[in-house]
Amino acid sequence: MASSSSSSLSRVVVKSSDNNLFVVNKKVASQSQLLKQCIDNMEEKGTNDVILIPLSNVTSNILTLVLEYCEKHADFADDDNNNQELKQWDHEFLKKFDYATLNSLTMAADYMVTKSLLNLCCQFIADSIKDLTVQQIRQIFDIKNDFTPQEEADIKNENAWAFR
Amino acid sequence: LLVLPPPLFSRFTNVDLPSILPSNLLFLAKMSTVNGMELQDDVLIEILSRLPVTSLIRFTCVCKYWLSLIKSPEFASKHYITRSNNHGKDDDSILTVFNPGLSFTIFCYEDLSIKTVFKIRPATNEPVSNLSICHHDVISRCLVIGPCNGLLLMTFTKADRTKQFDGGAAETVLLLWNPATREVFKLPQLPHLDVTGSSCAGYGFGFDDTSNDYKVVVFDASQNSSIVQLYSLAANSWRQVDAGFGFCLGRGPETSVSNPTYNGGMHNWIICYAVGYDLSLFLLSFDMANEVLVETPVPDGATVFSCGLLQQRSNNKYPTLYDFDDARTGISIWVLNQYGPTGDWTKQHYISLAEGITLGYKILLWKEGILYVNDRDPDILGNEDEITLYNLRTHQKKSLRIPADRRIVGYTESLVSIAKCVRQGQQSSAYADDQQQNSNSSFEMKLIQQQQKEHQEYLYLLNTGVHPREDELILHEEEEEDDSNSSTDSAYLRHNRRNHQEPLGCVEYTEDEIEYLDKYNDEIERLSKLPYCLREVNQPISSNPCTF
Repeated sequence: MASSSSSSLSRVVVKSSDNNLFVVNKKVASQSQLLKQCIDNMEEKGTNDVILIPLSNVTSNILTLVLEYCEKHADFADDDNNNQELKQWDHEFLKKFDYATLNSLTMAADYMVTKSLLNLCCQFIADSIKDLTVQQIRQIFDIKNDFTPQEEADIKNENAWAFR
Repeated sequence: LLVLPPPLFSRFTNVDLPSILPSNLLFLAKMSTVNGMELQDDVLIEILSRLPVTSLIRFTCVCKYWLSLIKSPEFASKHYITRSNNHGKDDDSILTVFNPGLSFTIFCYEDLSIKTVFKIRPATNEPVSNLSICHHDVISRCLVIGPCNGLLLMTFTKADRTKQFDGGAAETVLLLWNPATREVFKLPQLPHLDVTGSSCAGYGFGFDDTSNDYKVVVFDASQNSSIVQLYSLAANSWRQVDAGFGFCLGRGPETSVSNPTYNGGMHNWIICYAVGYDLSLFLLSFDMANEVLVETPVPDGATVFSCGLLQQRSNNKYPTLYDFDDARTGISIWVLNQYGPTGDWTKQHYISLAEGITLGYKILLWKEGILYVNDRDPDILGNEDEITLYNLRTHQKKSLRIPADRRIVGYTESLVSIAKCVRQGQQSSAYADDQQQNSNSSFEMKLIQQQQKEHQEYLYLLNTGVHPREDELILHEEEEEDDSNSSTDSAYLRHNRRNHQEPLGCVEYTEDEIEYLDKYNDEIERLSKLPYCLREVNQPISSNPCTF
């Protein structure tokens, strides 16, 4: 990639949905497949300008978090031995967010194709919601109950063992 | 992080996403224009596919959308793949079988805590069971075969103790079982082969990905025939297939079939037969897609007392075989490279046991450095079967302290619905496809009918002592079909059922009989609401019987 290209970009600028600009170095940006694709393509075209990548779905505060994650993981990219330390960091990183932030972060990770962050967030959310009640789930995901009481009771009766 | 103020915009080359992305990544550009809701869906599926089955079943009642999503076959396969790729999580379960009481204990793989205990036989003398098994039935030869995508094939011989002198009372029962969703599906009676009480019967269960169908194969190794009985779940029927392999080619009648193991697309057994005074072995494999049996020699030196097949976590196409040394101080692990008469095995590992450690006569499971061994010494009479765990790293031995037979199965929970596979085989499917949901639901309806029919048969038997003729048990099928077309989900279907309490209309009963049957209508109704549940044992269970 870099060796075959006629130019090499060391940094890119990423624009959040609320029009803030972030300067990101290439190694960090490469953690996101979306940004990496953009960089690779521009390099192939031989652009020497600094490129600006608009992310119309990601707000600045969420983008800050994604980039924080990418920075940490870029540091560890060549190094498998520190896996345990990185796992610990991942866990501490996610622990401090509420559900709304986690959801936005997950969606940003999905949008920016940061597979490892997406997996991490999904597993973290799954682990924290698996023992919740139906009512709690509706609250967290802001879902309206569209069953009639009878329908809901029927579903519950059908699999009563899962509701204990 | 360096945040720049907006006035600096003009200094950079602005990137237009759609123009620079290659065609295979164009969807990324599109995603920036879709509304947040659709994106959320994508992420929602990712999150839900990481949940245990019990949580998902509970969450079916969050809203209608979640219900249709969780019940869709596409989600079931996405969930299974996500969970089985997720190492070190609680998705891996272990099931042990205890034959005498016919009870099944399900452990959480990670910490060996007990999740559930199931029992087939009703504890009391209840007259009706949803599997038509009574308290006084003699149940023997229970085998659990699989897993395949989280499903198990269970087979046992059932005999009515009150009729033990009547030769026809014994019956071979075949069930498909998803322990995670507790769905149980009884296969139709095996039509052309009586394997009741036979030790030469071979059972296999697997998935044919060419026709997207689950298949069950049954053969009798003592018969000089190449015909096997093959059940297709998509068609829900048995047929006879010439598998191109004769069992008795110069081999004695003392043939035994053991070690049923499923490997991606192939079901394997070890066949043992007598040559003079010696016992000889070979590997027999059934190809689920091509429906043929293949014979493969076992590695040199493997004997019936020293070797067996190991269950694999991944659906590797080729089986793994363990073989104890003569002195039983070490175990060789062989992996097959190619099926067929050449028998191309590679020795992948050699495990030397620590001094003073003896392992029982059969290895049941090998997972992540832990061997699950049946420690019963076959030479000591009355010695009980017991599962022992041997940690290969620490060389420690622990007992699972659960009575268990020779069979122990590791599996990953899945949402796969057995009933939904029945008509699914040839159809392409999509989320919330109304047509399909209809056909699925109507099938579930039929299942309930079939079970009701069995209840009726049983009740009839109780009353009269004779088996009813087939035509005496016709239900109102057309009526039921109409009913099912008007609704889209089984939960509602069962609700609607209550308005159709005429399942016995076609049979002419005496007044006594009607009174008797009326009494059980409530029970039948109750059971039709939980048609797939094995009886769960609600007894206090000591937690964590064994930890390393």
